[in-house]
Amino acid sequence: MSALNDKHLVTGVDHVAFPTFDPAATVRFYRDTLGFPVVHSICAAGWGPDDHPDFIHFFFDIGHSDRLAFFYYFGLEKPDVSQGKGDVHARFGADTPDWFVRSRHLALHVNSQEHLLEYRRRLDASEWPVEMQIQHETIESIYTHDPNGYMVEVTRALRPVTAQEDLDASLTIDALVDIAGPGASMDALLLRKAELIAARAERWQREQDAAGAARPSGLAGSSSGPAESPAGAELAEAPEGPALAEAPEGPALAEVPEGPARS
Amino acid sequence: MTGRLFVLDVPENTGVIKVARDLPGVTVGQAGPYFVIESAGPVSIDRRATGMRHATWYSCVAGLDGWRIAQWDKDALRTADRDGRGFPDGNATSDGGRPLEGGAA
Repeated sequence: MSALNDKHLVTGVDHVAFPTFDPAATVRFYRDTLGFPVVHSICAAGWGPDDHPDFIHFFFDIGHSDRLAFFYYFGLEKPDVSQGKGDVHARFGADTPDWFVRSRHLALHVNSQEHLLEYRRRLDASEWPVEMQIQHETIESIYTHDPNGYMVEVTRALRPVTAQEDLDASLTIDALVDIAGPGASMDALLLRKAELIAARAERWQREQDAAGAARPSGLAGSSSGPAESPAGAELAEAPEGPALAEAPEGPALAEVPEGPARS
Repeated sequence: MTGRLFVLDVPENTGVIKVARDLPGVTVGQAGPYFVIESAGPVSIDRRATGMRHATWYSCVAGLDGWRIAQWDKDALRTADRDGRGFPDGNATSDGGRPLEGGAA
């Protein structure tokens, strides 16, 4: 068995790539508006067994040395985006719900509201103003669409993710794997997750206690009185930012991820 | 029948726990980092009484045992027995115990 067998080895996104039919606008959006440096590009003649066009593959730095890349193919006809929904790579019928169309998107992280609002300022002064600013449970995000129709989110955390949320995520996904399939429902997931909580949560807490980790919140352990508030508890009611939109009815976009609505 | 709702202990969920603790016949215990809202009969928790925002509200339930969720909307989180029984008079409710409509779960 390799010494690396159980190690989590990847260090981030090397690049995520999308096609573009409008490289000039794409550069205006990512480089000139958002300020993401161009850090790499490839000018390549088409090759290979397919009838591959000549192309430019170009990369923007999105922080942490992670990169957002585009392909521009010379001579490739742009799809008709006058009808329906979606972007230049994925088109959907006009009757497709927006929440599904928007479920695939790119979210970029910033460390503070000041930084989030700086990107809002840059976008609002551009051809691609912010379309929504929403505060979810533990994050605040702005959204727009880039010149290719791809939805781009910039997001910040309102507080650090806690250890118990990592446990909860594990239990959710284990439950989901168990129940996913035809006829799956939130009801089935919550029933299965309750079984997993009953089986694992107490042991997890004992392990946390043994490791000296802080108990979650002041509400826990009522017999022993209020405990120390967790870091960031005061941020749960973070003030609303400028022009903050109230989250619409139903899970907003796809942050849900994170539970029905957790990102 | 006795039912239980599990709610993760994070700051955003304090509102639902505070309301649940004031409901008659309801106990709030713990299972590790989860609160366990438990009662012999179904419960109803008024969202506005919790002070929770919608996005938080709609992700506050971590697990379900013995009950089904009969209502989970902008007004209330309401459970029912899994056999379909709703709210007999006198069961725990924070908003007067309106009868259940339908059985959407």
